[in-house]
Amino acid sequence: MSKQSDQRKVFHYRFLIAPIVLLLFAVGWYRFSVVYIQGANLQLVDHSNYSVYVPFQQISAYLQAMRDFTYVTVALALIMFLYFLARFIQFKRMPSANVAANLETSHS
Amino acid sequence: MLEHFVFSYGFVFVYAVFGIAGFIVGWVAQRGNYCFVNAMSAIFTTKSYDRFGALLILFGTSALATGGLVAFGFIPAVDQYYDNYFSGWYIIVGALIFGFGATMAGGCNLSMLYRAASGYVQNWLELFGMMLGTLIFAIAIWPTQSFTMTNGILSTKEGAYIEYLPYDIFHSVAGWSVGITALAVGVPLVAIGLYLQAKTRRKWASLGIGASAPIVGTTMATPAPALNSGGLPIGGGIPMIKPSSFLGRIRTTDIKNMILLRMPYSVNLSTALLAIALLMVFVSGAGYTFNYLVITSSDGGRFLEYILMPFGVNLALGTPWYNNALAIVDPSVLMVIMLIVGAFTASTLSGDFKIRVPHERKRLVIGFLGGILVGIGVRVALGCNIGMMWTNFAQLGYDGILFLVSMLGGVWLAIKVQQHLV
Repeated sequence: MSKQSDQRKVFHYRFLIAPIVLLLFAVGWYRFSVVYIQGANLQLVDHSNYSVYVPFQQISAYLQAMRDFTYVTVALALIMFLYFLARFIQFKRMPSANVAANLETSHS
Repeated sequence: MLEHFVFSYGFVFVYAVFGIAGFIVGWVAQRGNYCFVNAMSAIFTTKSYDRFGALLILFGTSALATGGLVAFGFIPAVDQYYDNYFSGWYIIVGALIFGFGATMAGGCNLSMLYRAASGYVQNWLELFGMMLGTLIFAIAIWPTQSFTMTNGILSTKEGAYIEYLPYDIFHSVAGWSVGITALAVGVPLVAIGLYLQAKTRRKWASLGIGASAPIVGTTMATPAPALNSGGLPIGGGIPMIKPSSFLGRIRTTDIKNMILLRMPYSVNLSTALLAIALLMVFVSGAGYTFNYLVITSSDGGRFLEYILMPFGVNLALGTPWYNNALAIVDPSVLMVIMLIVGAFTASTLSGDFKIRVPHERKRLVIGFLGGILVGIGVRVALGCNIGMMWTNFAQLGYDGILFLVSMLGGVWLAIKVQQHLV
């Protein structure tokens, strides 16, 4: 069996973990924006610092756009997860399947 | 912020377009392995001008496109020059520091982000170093720098149309003056870029390396560059990709392979897509905000600000620069977040994503220290290779030229240091 076909039988867990990381990043960033960025902006008003304060119209536009992108990113991550899950099951069913650890390190 | 909106679609749309542009930039840069530092270091290491030529084409087409939109009246001239910065000693010094630091660390501001999203630990450390460098700049350098800017010490005292080449040359910002200037800036840049690419490809052809050379991972079949002590190519240890082909020479199978993410994008295709992303932002943001691509020069500082927020620290309340020069959030934040998402998605779907830790641990230290210099350099220069250099060519200013020459000097210096360390 050629080296290339051997490599095709290796499945890395990182392909399953990556979409979950993407999903958590998107949701986490949106929540962070709602709680902390908005809060820090209001703190600026309390301290009368208007030079870096962002008007309400803009911050709400940011949050609205961010929310929409979060939906899209979560959908994308779920599609990626299902795709790689299907490939994972396919690999597991192969007699000589070889599932490798995901966090292997290599030279950059 | 301008009070007159060019289009009436509102801020949500502007933010959305910036986010989409960020996703495109992240995706394309990852697939094309697009790196400004790599392009410049290749000049000094392998004498290859292919990628540097692509940069000049990018700058030239950006100037022609934005200038054309203004010349034909689609976008008011004020939206091209409004955010032109001051010019002075800081552009030259900052770009030199940035070029040096980015070459040592292993990536410009663009490649740092997409490579960090592809699992390169060295670039994660570069990003953290950049955040620290921004804080050092804010506390130790900004008060003095802003004093020189305010008082015109080796600095212009105004930006905007004062730095706008159509005004500087013709004392007019009318369509005809913008059009002539755009042609005068853009056409030579594109011509020189194409010439440099053709020259390099002739050289490859003479060495028996064709544009259709097979791709093996992310290595390229060009003459092997000099290696540093870590066994990586001098110029930041950036993996180089195969010689690109011209858009017109791409075969149908190549297009299919690029769509299926089996093949990296050619350098000129990446250039064209990046220019389109810039135009999307230029048109949609006109009258609303800084309507050019800004990647991390400001956001390097912002991310540190954000990291500290959960600990009850708000840098914007008392720290210089943070408290008077950095809005707490703007469309570029969304652009950077979506850039990371785009690069991460592209690297995962193509199978490139992998946590990569250099065997030689000193590269991690160099990455971090280089990142600090990157942070200091980009803030001193008032922007990075994207937000200052590329943007300024599209703005029809002259700071981009100063930045380019000075950054080349920094890259050259870093390569000399790396060669000395081998």
